[in-house]
Amino acid sequence: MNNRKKYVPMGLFSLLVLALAMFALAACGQGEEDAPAPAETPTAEDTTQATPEPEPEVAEPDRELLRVELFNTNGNYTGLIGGWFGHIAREQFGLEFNMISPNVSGEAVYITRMAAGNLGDLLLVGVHTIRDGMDADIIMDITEFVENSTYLSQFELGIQNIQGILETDRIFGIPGFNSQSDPRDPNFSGENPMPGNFLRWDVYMEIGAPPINNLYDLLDVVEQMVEAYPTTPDGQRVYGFSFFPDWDGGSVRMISEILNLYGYHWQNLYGAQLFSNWDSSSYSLMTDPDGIYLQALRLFNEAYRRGLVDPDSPTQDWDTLAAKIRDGRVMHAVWPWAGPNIFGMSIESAETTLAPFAFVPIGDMQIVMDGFSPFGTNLCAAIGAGAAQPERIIEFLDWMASPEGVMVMMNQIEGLTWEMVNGRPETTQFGMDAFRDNLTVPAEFGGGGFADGISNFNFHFVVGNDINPMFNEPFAASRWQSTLGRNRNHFVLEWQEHFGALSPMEYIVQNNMISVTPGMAFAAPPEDSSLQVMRSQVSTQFVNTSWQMLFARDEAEFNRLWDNMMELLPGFGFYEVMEWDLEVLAGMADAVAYTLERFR
Amino acid sequence: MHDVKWIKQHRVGDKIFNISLYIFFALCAFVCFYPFYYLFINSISANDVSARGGVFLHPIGVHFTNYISMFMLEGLGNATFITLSRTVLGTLATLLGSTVLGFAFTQQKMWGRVFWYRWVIATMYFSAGLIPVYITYLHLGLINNFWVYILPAVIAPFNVILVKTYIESTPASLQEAAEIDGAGFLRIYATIILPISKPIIATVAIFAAVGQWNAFTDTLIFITDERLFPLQFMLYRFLTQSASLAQLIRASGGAPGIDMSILQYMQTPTSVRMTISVIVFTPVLFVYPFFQRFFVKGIMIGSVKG
Amino acid sequence: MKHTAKKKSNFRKWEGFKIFLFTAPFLLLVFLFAYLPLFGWIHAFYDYHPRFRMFQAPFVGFQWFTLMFSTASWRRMLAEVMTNTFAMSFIGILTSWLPMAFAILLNEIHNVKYRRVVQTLTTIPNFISWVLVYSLAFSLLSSSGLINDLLMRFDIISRPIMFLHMGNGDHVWAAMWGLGTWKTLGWSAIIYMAAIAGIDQELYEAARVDGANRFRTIWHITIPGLIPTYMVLLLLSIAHFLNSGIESTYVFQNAFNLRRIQTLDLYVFNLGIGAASYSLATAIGMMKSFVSLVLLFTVNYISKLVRGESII
Repeated sequence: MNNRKKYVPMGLFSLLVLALAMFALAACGQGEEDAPAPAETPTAEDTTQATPEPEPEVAEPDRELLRVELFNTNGNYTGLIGGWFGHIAREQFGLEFNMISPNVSGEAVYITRMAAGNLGDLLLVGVHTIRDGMDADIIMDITEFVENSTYLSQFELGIQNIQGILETDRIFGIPGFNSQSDPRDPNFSGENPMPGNFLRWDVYMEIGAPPINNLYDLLDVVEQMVEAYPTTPDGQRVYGFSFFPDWDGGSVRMISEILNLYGYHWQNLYGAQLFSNWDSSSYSLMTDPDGIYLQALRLFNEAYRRGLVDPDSPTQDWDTLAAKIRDGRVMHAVWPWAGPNIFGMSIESAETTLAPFAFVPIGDMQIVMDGFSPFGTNLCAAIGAGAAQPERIIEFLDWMASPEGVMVMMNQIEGLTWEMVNGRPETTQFGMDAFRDNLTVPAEFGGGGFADGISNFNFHFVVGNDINPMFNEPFAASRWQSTLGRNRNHFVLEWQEHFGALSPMEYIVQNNMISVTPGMAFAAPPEDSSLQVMRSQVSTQFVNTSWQMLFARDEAEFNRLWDNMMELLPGFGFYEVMEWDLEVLAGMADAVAYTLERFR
Repeated sequence: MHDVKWIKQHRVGDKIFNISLYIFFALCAFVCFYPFYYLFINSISANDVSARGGVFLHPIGVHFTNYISMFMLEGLGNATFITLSRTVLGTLATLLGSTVLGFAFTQQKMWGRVFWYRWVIATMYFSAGLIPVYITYLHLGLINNFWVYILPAVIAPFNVILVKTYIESTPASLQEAAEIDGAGFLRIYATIILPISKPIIATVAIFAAVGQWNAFTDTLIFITDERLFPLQFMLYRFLTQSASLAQLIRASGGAPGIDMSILQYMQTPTSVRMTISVIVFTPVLFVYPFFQRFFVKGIMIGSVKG
Repeated sequence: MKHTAKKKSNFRKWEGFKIFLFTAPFLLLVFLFAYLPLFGWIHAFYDYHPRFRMFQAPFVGFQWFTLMFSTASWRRMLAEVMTNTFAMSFIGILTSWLPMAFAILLNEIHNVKYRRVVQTLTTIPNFISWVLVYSLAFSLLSSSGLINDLLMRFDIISRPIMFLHMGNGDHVWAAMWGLGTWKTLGWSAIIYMAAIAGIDQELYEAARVDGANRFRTIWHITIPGLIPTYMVLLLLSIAHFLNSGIESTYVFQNAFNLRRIQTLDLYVFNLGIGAASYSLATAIGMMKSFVSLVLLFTVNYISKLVRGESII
């Protein structure tokens, strides 16, 4: 008996090892094909591909499938792009895109890939990342490719701007969002300004649509609205204002959006400690006791003490807030898409919506918006140094920059989501519902759900408002004649009559309520790490104190919080950060002057 | 599992104690179970009612579309296979590593025992940082490789401690008897230690299996090949698509490339988040009872002496 | 005689070495995965950015290590953060016996089915991610959540209580402890359940024969049987004093409770802007590692003195 017992456990043990080995072989087969070579050697992206092809002019149907690793700072998806867009990429270009987004996988993916020496084959990244990449020798010099291309080469101003920033006369990156329009015109892709002042339209009309001359009036009007409509039919309490903290950067986001309505930009200098006006000729420090930020805080603190502000604001996330707005529990919003906006709402929806929102101008408004940029933005397309067959990637990019490509990227599939009717482009019914309802795409276009099959690039070489030479209408579907001429719902008709303008943008342009920061050739210089740490600390302090001040019970508490914060800030390096911001501001002012001069 | 009723329960004090115990645990179980119930009823309730927080006691507007759309996600089949593989293999790997090491460290005669034990335990208290780990893995060929899920799991210092402590609390006579019979390390390991340690093995197995089942952060960093994405990652990716869009806007102060109106449609309702959670841990809930049978009382020491 | 003794000790040595050989592959893996990457600690002394190759980055010496002590504001921040970390870890240590007590009490339930069901159910919170815990907490505790709704409906309060502000920070430690316990109690108890199952049955038999009631049994058999496990876990968690992890504190933090909820880990995370603060994070990680190891060995030494046995 002992002898038998001896072998059984040994047998079990070896069986275990055998099982492990078998599984290993099976799994190994999957894994090994795709392990990229170590960092020293250039990466061969697809080990199954044959010798590189000579540059083809036209897409050949039997080209080897090339997998392109796409690192996209602006992306919100990680993984293989399939669906109808993947279909187009495969059929027309023989390309397969494997997207990697720091927004999904976290900053870690940027750090580790950069350190390992391979960010990707196609990069959609900021210009500073390209500079870092050049230091690390991982960006390809694509000068010849671009110069020989049909459409990419036309973005001269933008390319030169990038060359200037990178301090080189070779081409390493091609900027996106290049515009041919006048940089002094506001760049908007809808009928509503962003940000703006949006109120519950039905309730506003009910209380007699009183004119709003300034922000104090706004508080009064909102108060009246809440009095008229204090609870929803379910008995839920209704608030005038409701915020959320997720998008705070260097300040409470909602407050800075309001300031945008009064001529002060915060966006251009993200995380900066000051607000600048449209041409950067004047500024207001966030810590200025007479400054606009503190004034705005005071105003909303008063709103809170009058019971108009949702006390859950500092603890709720966007989903919760959006649900509240849709349910009709909030009277005011700063973004046109925050609540169901009457412009863009179908006639059917207008009958059933609980909360129609519309732009209501404030008398002394002066909205600051960005103008079109002939220089593009600082987000660029670049090619990784180790990319195999870069000419094929350039071919794809060139297509993206062509009118046909733009139509696909912006409006998706001709014949499915849009079509030409009497020489004018029109969105089809499918096109209008496809995204929202994730309609199934027919098999010949690639199949799958519509929303699942989008490109997720979030990058274009041109701007939606630019004119498509193919039929003399803007690229973006929202600006087509056919879209604008669509039957308007009764709210819109009401609005148009009340304000005497066709759309909110028209209204503010007519009434000189808008200043435009012209598109400029400018990139803020990269900060060194100690400055960034200081800025992070200062911003956190600032934002947290702002929230507390917003909800202060009385004047004394309000002031005390402010004073406490002012005491702490210098120790965190506030003055160093401020100095830096002022320098950047001066640079911006120069860039604005340059644009104005050039495009007079 | 035999139950030895050896307390005479007719004493009043005992009865009261028993009853209070039952009540106490009923309360605990309720407090622990209610959140799961909450998640479940929300996942099958109408999304807008759920988003406003209106669903507490019973589902409202029952629908299963959340689940259906989850199951229709592309690539889910392969992801499930990957998750199952890594759970099974990873658990086996951890078991192997922790039992062999745990047992070895109980042997006084092991060469360098104290040193090597400390060598292993100390690793719980430092971490080299993301980049060096990534570069190391890169040179070891573990990037975009299935083994990155399994090999690092072999070394689990905490589990080594658990096993070692457990073995040390078992009577030494068992091992001594085997040694006298001339059994070597492997034989004692296989014939004596493993059978005795069922409870702790089950414990380590549960921890390891659950860890593997829930893991996805390693995928985030080390894997870009879709074929190696586990289930959790697919679900996480689905979740973050709208959240990361919002992040983008924050980071770029209004990214011009994104049609902001999309944001309206891309909100991930909280109820979908809850659906994902239910999908992910319901299997665990069913697996745990399977392991409970190993928490068996009764190492009959008597059998050895005989 | 001497000859045999020497042979025996040589044999023993060889046996001991053979055991080492069995473990060698695992020890090698430990080296590869945990010790080898430590070369990366060099980054703490540089102003490192991933674009730099190994020694190309500018050398800054101890700059990152001293940053947190450099000005009064930083020191205040650091003091606040360390207080929070200490408080939360300390409370955790004080209450570390709870899973053990839970397991012992649960073991006293004689109905097997009931016990198994309770066991399974109490492990559920462990699987609910903190993000969802926050969602649940928000919908119950927000100003228009269930609790406030009920309280206001029965006229117990007139203004909603802002639970999530955690008393402007005053109740944070208790709240986080409560949440943490709810989440991990059942799961941690598993270890003790396993340990109880491993206690020699003969001891219980002998006690019964001696006429001991259940309390004496628990006191004299079960608890001593669990003490070794408990001590090991306790001493290990003392060494983990500085590492509190960020999952729970990250989701619950807001402007009002920040001053009490921000632990060292959360603080470093909040500070971090990815690549920029990589060196700072590495430096702080290094310091934490040293402190942890020192704590570990100190506590081990004390244990040797007091209890006569070391844990490692």
